[in-house]
Amino acid sequence: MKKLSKLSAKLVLKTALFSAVLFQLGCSPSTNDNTQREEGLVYCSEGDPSVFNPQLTTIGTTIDATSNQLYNRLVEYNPRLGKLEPALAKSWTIANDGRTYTFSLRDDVVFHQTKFFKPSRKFNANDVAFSFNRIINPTHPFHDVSGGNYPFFNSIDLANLIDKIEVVNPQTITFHLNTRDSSFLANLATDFAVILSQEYGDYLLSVNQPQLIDIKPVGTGPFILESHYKDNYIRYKSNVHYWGGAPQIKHLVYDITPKSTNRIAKIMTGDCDVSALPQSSELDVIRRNIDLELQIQTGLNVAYWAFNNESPPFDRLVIRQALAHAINKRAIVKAVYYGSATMAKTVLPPLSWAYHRQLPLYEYNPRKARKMLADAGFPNGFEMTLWAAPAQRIYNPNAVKMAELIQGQLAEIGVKVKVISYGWGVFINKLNEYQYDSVLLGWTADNADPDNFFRPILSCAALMSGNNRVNWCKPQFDQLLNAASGQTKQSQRMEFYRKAQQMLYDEVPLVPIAHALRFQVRDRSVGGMSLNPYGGISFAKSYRISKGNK
Amino acid sequence: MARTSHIYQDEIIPSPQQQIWRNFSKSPVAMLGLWVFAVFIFISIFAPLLAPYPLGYQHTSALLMPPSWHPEGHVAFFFGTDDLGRDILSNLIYGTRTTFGASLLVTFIALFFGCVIGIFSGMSHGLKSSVLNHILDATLAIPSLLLAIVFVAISGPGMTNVMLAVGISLTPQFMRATHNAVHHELSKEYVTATKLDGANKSQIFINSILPNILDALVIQITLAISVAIIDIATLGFLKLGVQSPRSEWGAMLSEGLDLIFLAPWNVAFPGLMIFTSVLSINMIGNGLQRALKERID
Amino acid sequence: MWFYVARRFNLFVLTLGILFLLVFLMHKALPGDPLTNLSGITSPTFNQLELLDEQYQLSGSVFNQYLGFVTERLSGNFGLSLTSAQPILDEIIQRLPATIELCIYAMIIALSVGIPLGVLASFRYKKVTDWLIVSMSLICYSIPIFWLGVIGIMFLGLEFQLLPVAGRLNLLFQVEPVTGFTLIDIMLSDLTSKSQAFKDAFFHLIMPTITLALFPVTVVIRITRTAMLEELNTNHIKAAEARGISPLIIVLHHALPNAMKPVLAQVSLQLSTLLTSAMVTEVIFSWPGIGTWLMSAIYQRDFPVISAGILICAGLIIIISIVSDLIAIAATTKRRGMHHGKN
Repeated sequence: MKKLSKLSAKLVLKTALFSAVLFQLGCSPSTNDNTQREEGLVYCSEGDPSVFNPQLTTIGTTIDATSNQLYNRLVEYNPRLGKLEPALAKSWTIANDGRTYTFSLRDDVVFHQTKFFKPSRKFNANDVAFSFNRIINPTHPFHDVSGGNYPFFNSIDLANLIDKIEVVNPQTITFHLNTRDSSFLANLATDFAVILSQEYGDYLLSVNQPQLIDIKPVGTGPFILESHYKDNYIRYKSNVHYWGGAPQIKHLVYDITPKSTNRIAKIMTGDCDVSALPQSSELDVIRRNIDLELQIQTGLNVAYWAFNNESPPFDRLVIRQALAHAINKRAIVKAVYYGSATMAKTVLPPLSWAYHRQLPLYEYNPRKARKMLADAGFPNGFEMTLWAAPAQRIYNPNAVKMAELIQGQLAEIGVKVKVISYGWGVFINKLNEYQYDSVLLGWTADNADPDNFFRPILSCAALMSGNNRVNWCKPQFDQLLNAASGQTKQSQRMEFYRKAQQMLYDEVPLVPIAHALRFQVRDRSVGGMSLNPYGGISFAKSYRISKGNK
Repeated sequence: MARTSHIYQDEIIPSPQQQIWRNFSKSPVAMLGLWVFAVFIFISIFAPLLAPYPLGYQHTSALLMPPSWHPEGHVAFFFGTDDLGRDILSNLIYGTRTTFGASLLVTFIALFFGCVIGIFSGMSHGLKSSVLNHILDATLAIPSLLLAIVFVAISGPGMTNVMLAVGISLTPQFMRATHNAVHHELSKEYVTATKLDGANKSQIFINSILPNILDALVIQITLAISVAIIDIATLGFLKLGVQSPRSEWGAMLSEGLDLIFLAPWNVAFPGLMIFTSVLSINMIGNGLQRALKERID
Repeated sequence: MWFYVARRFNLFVLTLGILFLLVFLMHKALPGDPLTNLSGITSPTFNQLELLDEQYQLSGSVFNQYLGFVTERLSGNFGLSLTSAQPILDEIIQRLPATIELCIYAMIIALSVGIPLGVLASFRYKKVTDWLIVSMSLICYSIPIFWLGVIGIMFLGLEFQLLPVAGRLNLLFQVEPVTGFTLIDIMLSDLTSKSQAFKDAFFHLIMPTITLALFPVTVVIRITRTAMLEELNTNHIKAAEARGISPLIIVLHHALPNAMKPVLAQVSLQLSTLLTSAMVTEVIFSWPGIGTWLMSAIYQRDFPVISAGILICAGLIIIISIVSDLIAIAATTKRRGMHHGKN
C-alpha cells in the first residue's frame, strides 16, 4: 500500500507540474504577430445602446456608442477653440433677419457600405433634408418608425422652429426658421443632429423593413457597424473611405461592462484599452498604475433631485423648500464623488457664461426643514419614494449610494424614504408612468449654449417629449427661454437666463446637487483620445503608439 | 463513575446521548466549532446590546475608515467604516441576526415540515408512499437560487422571499432523510415485536422509532444549517435579499465590491464572518459524524 | 432492469410536469399583463392576439392553459425577451454553451484532483496526510464561492495582474461560435494568431473554473475517501491482498470501480449546487453564460426571460440527473452481470 500512496502522491504532483508548465508558457514573451492588438482597440463601455441612432434618445451611453463613430453632423463644435467648425457643411451663411441658414455641403462624402446595403451615390442635400424632415414632419415615412419620439428635438421644439427645409441644389441646403434662434447652429452641432442616408431609407421602405434604419445603421462616420451582441459587445470596423481620413484603428470593439470595478480590472489586465466612467473611488488606483493615464475635464453637467411636482405633497412649494434645506450637499460630494465635484446652486455649472453668480443657496439646515414641515401640517414627517438607477452616469457615479445618503439625511427630519431601483432600461421606461415621488437624474450638456441646460429638461415641450422629469410646466419659464434665444447679444441673453435661474430658485421644482468632473481612463499605448467637455466619445483620431512588446 | 455509596459496583453504561457527547468532546476541533457556534448564537440574540452603533447610522465625518489596527484607523470604528460612514462591526453584528439567525430559523422550520411529511410518508405503504417519493424527488431538482428568483420575480427582493426559497429548498432533504430512516426502522425486528405486543401506530412511532432516527436527523440538521447560511448569503450577494438599511453579510460583501480598490476590508470582513460561521457548523457536523460512527463501531 | 428504466422515465415525466406547473403558477402570480409575460410581445396586434390566444389556450380552463403553455415551451417557443425583443430560444442557444463549458471543465478538475486525493487520504487513514487532506477539504467546503472569487480577483487579477478577471476572451480576437466552446472554436477557426487566442482563452478560463471546482473537489475527496475506506476493508480486497496481487491492480481493477459508484451518484446530486455556483461564478467573472443572462433579467424584470431561464436550468438538472441515473444503472447491471453471471 505504501507504493500505491506514493503513486497517487506522484499523480497529484504531476498534475500540479503540468499546470505550472502551461502557466510558464503564457508568461514567456510572445513572438507571434501582434497585429490584432496593434490595429484594434477595445473600449469598456458602461452600458448597451438602446438603439443605433442618436436622434431617438438623449441617453449618454447610446450617444457614446453611435454618434461620433457612425455618423457626422453639418457642423461640429471645437471645444478647444470654443467655436463651430465645418463638418459635412463646408460653409454657411445666415441671412440678416436671422431666420434663414444656408449651408454649402461637401461633395466627397460617401455613406457606409455594409452587408446589406451598397450606396450608389455620394452624400448630398437630399440626405440632410431626409434626416431633419424625419424629425419635424409627421407625414415623413420614417417619422413614426422606432417610436416616433425625438426627445432632444421635441424639447427644443424643432418642429415649430423650422418652417421648411429647402434643397437648393445637391450641394446647397437652406433652413427657413419661423423665428430667430441664436442656439440653432449650436443645436445642429449636438450629437443628436446626425445625417442619415435617404437612399438607405428608400431601400428599406422597398423591402418593408423601415425599423432597420435604427438597428442596422448606415452613416457617413469613421466606423461601420459589423455586429452587435446585446449586453456583451459591439464590433466596428474602420471606414476606409471616410472623408476625414480613414481611422488608424481598424477594429473597434465596445466591451459592455456595467460594473465600474470590472472596467478598471479589465483595463488593468489589458482586456480593455480605454474605459468609461471610472468611479472616483478608483482614481487613486489608476494614478498609481504607470500603464494607465487618467484624463480629467471640468464638467458641463448637473446631477439633480427631481420632485414629481404633480404628486402631493410635492405640489406644495413649502414642502419642496423644506426638503431642499434637508440635503447636505457637501456630504454627498464627499461620499459619492470623493470630492471630484462641486456643489450645485442651480442647473447651470459655474463654467457657463450665463451662470448667475449672486444666486443664493438653500443652505443645509435640518432644524429649519423640520419646522417648515411641521408648519405645513407634517409634524411627524411623511413617507416618500426616491428612484435611483444603478448605473453610472457622467454626472453621478453612484445614484443608489446618493439615494441612501439622502435617505439617511431625510430620516433626521422625520421623512421616511424608500429607495427604488431598476435596471437602467426598465428604469427609463417606468419613469414615463410618473409613479415616482422623486428621482435622481442629471444632464450632460451637448453644447456650450446655456439653453441646452434648461430647455431639454425643464420646458413644457420637454414634458411632452418625456425628458422633463420634474413634471413641471411653467409658460413664463418657457417665455424667458424663448426670449433669451431670440436675442443675439450675450449680455441681453444673460439677463433672461438670470431671471430663469431665479425662477428655478423660487419655485424649486428640483434640487440641483452637484456638477461632476469628467474622467476617462486610457492605456498609455493609445493616443489621439481627447476628452470632450460635452458630447460623446470619439475614436476617429485615435491610434496605437506601438511599443516593442505588450 | 461508580457510586461508592453502593455495596455492589454497578456497571453504568452511559446512555447513547452521553456516549455521543463523550466522543464528540474528545475532538478539540469539534469543540472549537461548538464554541464558535455558541458565540454566534449569543451575538444574534443580543445584537442590539453588543453593537456599538445603531443599525445603518451614517457617520458623515468618518467615511472609509480603515480597521483600527491600521495607522489611520480608529478604535471607535473597530473594523472600519464603509463609504457611507456606517460602522462595519455594528453592521456585521446586526447582520448576524439576518444571515445566521435567519438560517437557523429556516432550518428548523424546514426540519419541522420535512419531518412531519417524511414520517407520514415513511409510515405509509404502497401508492401513497410512492407518490410522496416522486414528489420528493421532483422538488430536489430545483435549487434554492431558482426558487428565490421565482419569488423575487413575483414580489420583488426581500428577506421573506429569500427565507421562503431557502426553506422550501431545504425541506426535501429532511423529508428524504426522515422517510428513509423511518422506513428502515420499520423493517426492524423490534418494531414487529412491538406491533405483536399490540401497540398502535402512534405508540410504535413515539416509543420505538423516534428515538432511533434522531441520529440521522442531527447530521442532516448541521448540514442544512451550513447550506442555509451559504444560500442566504449568496442570495444577499446577488442583491435578491434585504434592502438597505438592514444589513446582511452577503449583501455587505456585494456592496463592498465597488470599493475593492480603496477599502478591501469591506469585502474581507463579511466574507470572514460567513466563512467562520459555516466552518464552525461544519466542524460540529464532522465531529458528530465521527462520534456517531465510533459509537456504532 | 427495464422495469427500473420505466420507473425512472415515469419519474422524469412527472418531475418535468411539476416543474412546468410551478412555472405556470408563477406566471399567474406575476405582476403586469399575463400575455406580455408569456410571449414577450408588449403591444400585440389583433392578429397576434388571436394567435397567442390559440397557442396558450387563454380562453380555456386553467388545465387547458397549462397544456397550452407546456406545448408551446416544448416546441421551442419561449417568446421574446422584453429587453432585447429577440427570440429567447436564440439567446439561450447563444449563452448556454458558455455555462456548460464552465461546468464541464470544473467537474473534470474536481474529479481529476479529487479522486487521487481521496484515494491518497484513504491509504493514509488516521495519519498526517489524511488529517491534512480532510482539514483542507473541510476549510475549502466552508468558503463561500463568491468570497473566493472576489479574493481571487483581488490578488491574482488586480494586485499581481497575473490573470484576466472578466469575460471569456479578449474581444479583439473574433472567433466564430461553432460549438460554443471557446477552446474548440478557436482551433476550428481560421484566425491568423490562433495560438495567441488559445492562450488568451485558456487564461480567461483559469480563475472561473478553479473557483467553481473548489466545492465539488471537497465533495469528491470526501466521498472517494469514505468509499475507498469501505472498499479496502471488504473481504474480497483483503483476500486479493493476501493473494499477493500488486496494490496498483487492486486499486484500479477491484477497489476503485466499486468506490466510483457512490462518487458518480453524488455527482448527480451535486448538479443543482453546481448550477447555482456556476451562476454566481458567472456573475463575479462576467462570464457570458445563462447565469449572467438570468440575473440581469431579474434586475430588469424581464419576465419571459426569467421564466424561460428557470425552465431551462431546472430542466437541465432534471435531464442530466435522470441520464446519469440511467448510466449508473446500466453500469451496475453490466458489472453485476460480469461477476455473478446472469442477474
